[in-house]
Amino acid sequence: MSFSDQDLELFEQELREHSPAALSDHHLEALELSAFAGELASTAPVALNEDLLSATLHKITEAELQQVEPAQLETELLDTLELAPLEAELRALTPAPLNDSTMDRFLGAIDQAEQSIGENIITFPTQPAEPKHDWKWYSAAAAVAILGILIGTIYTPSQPSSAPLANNSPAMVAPAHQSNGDLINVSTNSTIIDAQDQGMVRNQQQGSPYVRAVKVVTMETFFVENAQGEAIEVKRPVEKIVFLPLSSD
Amino acid sequence: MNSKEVTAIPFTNQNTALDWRTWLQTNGPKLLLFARQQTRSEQDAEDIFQEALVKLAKKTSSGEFQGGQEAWLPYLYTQLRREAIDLGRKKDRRAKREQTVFEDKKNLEGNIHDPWFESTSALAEQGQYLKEALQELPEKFSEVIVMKVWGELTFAEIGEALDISLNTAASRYRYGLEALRKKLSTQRDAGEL
Repeated sequence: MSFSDQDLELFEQELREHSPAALSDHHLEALELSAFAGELASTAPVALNEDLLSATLHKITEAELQQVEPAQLETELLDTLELAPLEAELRALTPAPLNDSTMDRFLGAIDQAEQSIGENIITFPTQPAEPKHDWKWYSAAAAVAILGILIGTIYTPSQPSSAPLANNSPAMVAPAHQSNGDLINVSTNSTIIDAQDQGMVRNQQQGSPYVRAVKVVTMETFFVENAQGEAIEVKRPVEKIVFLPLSSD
Repeated sequence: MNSKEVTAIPFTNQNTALDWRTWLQTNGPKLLLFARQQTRSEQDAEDIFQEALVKLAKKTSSGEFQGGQEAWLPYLYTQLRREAIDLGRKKDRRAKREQTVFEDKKNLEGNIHDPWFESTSALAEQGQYLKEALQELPEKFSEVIVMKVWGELTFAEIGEALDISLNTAASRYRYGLEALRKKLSTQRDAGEL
């Protein structure tokens, strides 16, 4: 395709009539920043002055050092270094020994103190503990035995019983409200009439190393009835040792 | 009766078998020295020492004492100090009642003749000066020195016995020794030592 000179002239005229499009803000900003970056890149940083550098480093070190507490020499070490001669001089002196009379006095006091502890200490039996029984049954048995002896000496039994009235064995004891021969044990009661501290006792069993022994005296009263329905009251004192746990302090 | 099962017998335990005499021969001198430092007179020192020993014996016999024999020494130092404080209070009250210091004066005078250190030693004279110097020191210094040097306790043990910190005990020891050194230097300069 070929254009005539006229056509070209018209085209050129047409182009001249159009003004060039303005640059957008975005393009302008990009161009400005690019130029500034180039300017910056061409600028070399100013080197730190040697004195300034030294001073800065010095200040940093000083600040760091101020934050660090100086290590203290061990007191023992100081003593060793400075006061060792005096210490040696002092150690060369020996405290005066106890004279004989003072020694005897102290030993006597110690012995007395130990004995005073021993006076209040009683120990558990070394034999194994017996089976625990209800004391009420023993009491009832004893009462029945006493009554039996008394009645036996006063009255002649119409029908002698073949069974013993009482026995030390708990198995033979008649419990309350049960008949034993002509006597029926109706009830029993016990009243504490005295209690005395017997001191500490070494506990050979588990638990607290010591227990406190207390002697308790009680008055036991037995109410029995004979075959005729007559009530009989029997009293007897009973002494027991009771062991109470001690606090550890 | 149950009481038949319980036989009252003298209390015995392992501590009874310990040879108190031997133990006192070894440890008694330094404890008595501390007692002397804590009190105003020889008689008071022996009294508080005996009282402390009695308490220790009772505790060991009854089984109340915590620890073995190695704990006796720290216990006795603590107890001696308590006894001394109690005795001091009693004496102060009595002194106020009687309005006199006669007894204390007599004790102090009598005290001069009771050597704190072995008199047979060649250092006997020095011991006498040292005793006087220790008596002149503030008590808080002299007690630490006595416990450390002759009691051979650690600062931790001293701190525990005196109810002060380990560092305080160490400081008092150091200040006390310095003060003592000055006093002894003065005496040396004066030709007394």
